[in-house]
Amino acid sequence: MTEVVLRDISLTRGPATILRNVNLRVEAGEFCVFVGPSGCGKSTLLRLIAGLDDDASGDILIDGRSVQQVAASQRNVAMVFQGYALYPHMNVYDNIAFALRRAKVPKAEIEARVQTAARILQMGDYLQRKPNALSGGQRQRVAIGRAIVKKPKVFLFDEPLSNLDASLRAETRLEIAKLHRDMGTASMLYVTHDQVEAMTLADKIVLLRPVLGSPGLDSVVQIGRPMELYHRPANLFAARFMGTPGMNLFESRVAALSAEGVAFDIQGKHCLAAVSPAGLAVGDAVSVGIRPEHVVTGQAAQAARTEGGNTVQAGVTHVEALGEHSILHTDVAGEGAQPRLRLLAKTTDESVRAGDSLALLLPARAIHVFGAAGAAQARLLTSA
Amino acid sequence: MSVVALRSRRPGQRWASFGLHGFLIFYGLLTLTPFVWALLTSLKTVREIAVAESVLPVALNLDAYRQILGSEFSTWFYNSMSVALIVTLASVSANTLAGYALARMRFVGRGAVFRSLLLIIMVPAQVTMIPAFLIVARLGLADTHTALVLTSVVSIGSIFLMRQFFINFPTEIEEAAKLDGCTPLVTFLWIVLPMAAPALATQAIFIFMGVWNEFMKPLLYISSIDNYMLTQGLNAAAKQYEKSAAWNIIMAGSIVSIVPILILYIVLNKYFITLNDQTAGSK
Repeated sequence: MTEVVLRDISLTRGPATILRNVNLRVEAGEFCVFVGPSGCGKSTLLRLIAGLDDDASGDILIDGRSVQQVAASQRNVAMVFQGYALYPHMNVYDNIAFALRRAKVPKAEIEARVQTAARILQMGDYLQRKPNALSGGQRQRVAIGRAIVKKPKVFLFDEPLSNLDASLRAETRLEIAKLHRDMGTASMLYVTHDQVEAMTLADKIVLLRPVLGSPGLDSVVQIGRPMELYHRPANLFAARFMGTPGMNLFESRVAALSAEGVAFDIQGKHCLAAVSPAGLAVGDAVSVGIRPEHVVTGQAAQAARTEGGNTVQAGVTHVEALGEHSILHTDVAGEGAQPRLRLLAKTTDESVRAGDSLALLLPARAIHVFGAAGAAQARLLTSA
Repeated sequence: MSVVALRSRRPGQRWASFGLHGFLIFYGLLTLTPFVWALLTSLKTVREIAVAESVLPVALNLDAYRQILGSEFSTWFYNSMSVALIVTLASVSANTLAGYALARMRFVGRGAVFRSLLLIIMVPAQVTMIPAFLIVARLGLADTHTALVLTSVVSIGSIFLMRQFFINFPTEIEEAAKLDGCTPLVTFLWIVLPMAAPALATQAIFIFMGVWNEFMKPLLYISSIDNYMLTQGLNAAAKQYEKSAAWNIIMAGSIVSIVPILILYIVLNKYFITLNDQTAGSK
């Protein structure tokens, strides 16, 4: 069972810092996804683990053994590249068998492994074809097959789905998930900029951010299970990155602090967020966030309004009907000359039209509060 | 453009395409005429040429060919062929390796080397001709084929061609090979070179043609008749046969000297077309 440990990995090339203080551990058999916007260094991190780049400081351990000085082909890793990187002058069989032949694996063993991979990935029909006679999805499978037969300890995927069209992407995502279940003990490290892939495939997500031009900022934003990153983002960056449509975020001030949570000002009204008041003082500037799907509309909101709960009145400016649900773009009116606050909400009520005025309930337990430095206030576990 | 497509075009466009095609055909014929003339002349007898009655020969007379193939012409042909082949082989190897190193490898002075090559290529051959000859003579290589080979084996234009080719070469494939256990040399020989076949073929054609048609260098370095290259030999023979107006022999020599180039081009032609198809192994 293989675990991969990265210790204090930092990488600077010339004047540019690409990675800073990356510390993480991938447990044996885990599917770990590196996700983040362009320039955050996720592909670079993968290449460092693979051994394709070796100019980072810090240590990389595979199965407890430091591999910084070990050649790429000796690290027992296999990589699936974004552009597939198949050898165009060889047919599929030779492409898959290439590494095994280089390692002088006996012919019978090679044949067995290639056929197994072909069966798992349903490639049996085109083993004799050359890559230029294959579709994108088929080439991708050959690239994966090439990795499987090496029986590596660690699989590395570098944005393998980004060159496929949408329907093929969904299909191949399922295949990769299935592959992970079948491959059992091998760890899989997967790089993507698509948070949907990250959410659906990962056992653990490592969220990275670009550190270029921000001295002192660490590359790793948050590490955790997908739902953890989704429901409890550690800071503004994590909150913004995960979720489509993104979390509603706006600036506010602390109105009051209590054991129940933090009251903040929203367009002149006070609403309560069930978060810890630690480190905050009345009047502090904070960022407040709530995900569109947590904003309650309709009957429940009306009822809460009469009870005086966390409700605001908003006018609907635009409705995006997506079939299963609709996204409401709303404007929360402020007192006097205050700028309008935009909030997105989701509803399954198909009767809502632009121009309607409705009540929005912001449940205290669904509100995120971020301090001045961007870090999230801890969630209060109350029974309310 | 097929005839079917032609019919569906507006009259103005049709005239334009007729005009274009007409011009191209005319230009093609114009280019071919000297070769056809030479071919026809080589099949005539001296009398026919002198009399100049018709364009076409009375009968297909291969006497001219028989005569040249029995003379020093064969020696010259062999000289040119051997020098051209050796230079092509050595040059393609050297240029490819240099281009790869300049494109892929990081070493101290890489920029300086590249800039030096740029400078060198700006200097015309005529300027370095005499100094080169002096060096060759000093080495005791005057009047040898070795001199020709040594002075032709590096083609800076080809180095740039290969460098550009390798810059555009997908690095992912080389990295995949690295992960598969290939050393840089194995990667170069078994992965990169096969994929570079079109570029290599292009080089080969141009270098071979360049050496085969070279006149100035052989004139400079080679002095004895037995060592003549084909270009020199034909030139000398022409002067000689001119006096007896044996144009059929001169033309026969010309035609025979074109044949290897034609064959080379026919064989390697398809590689020109696939020169840019490197994306076959990737997205």
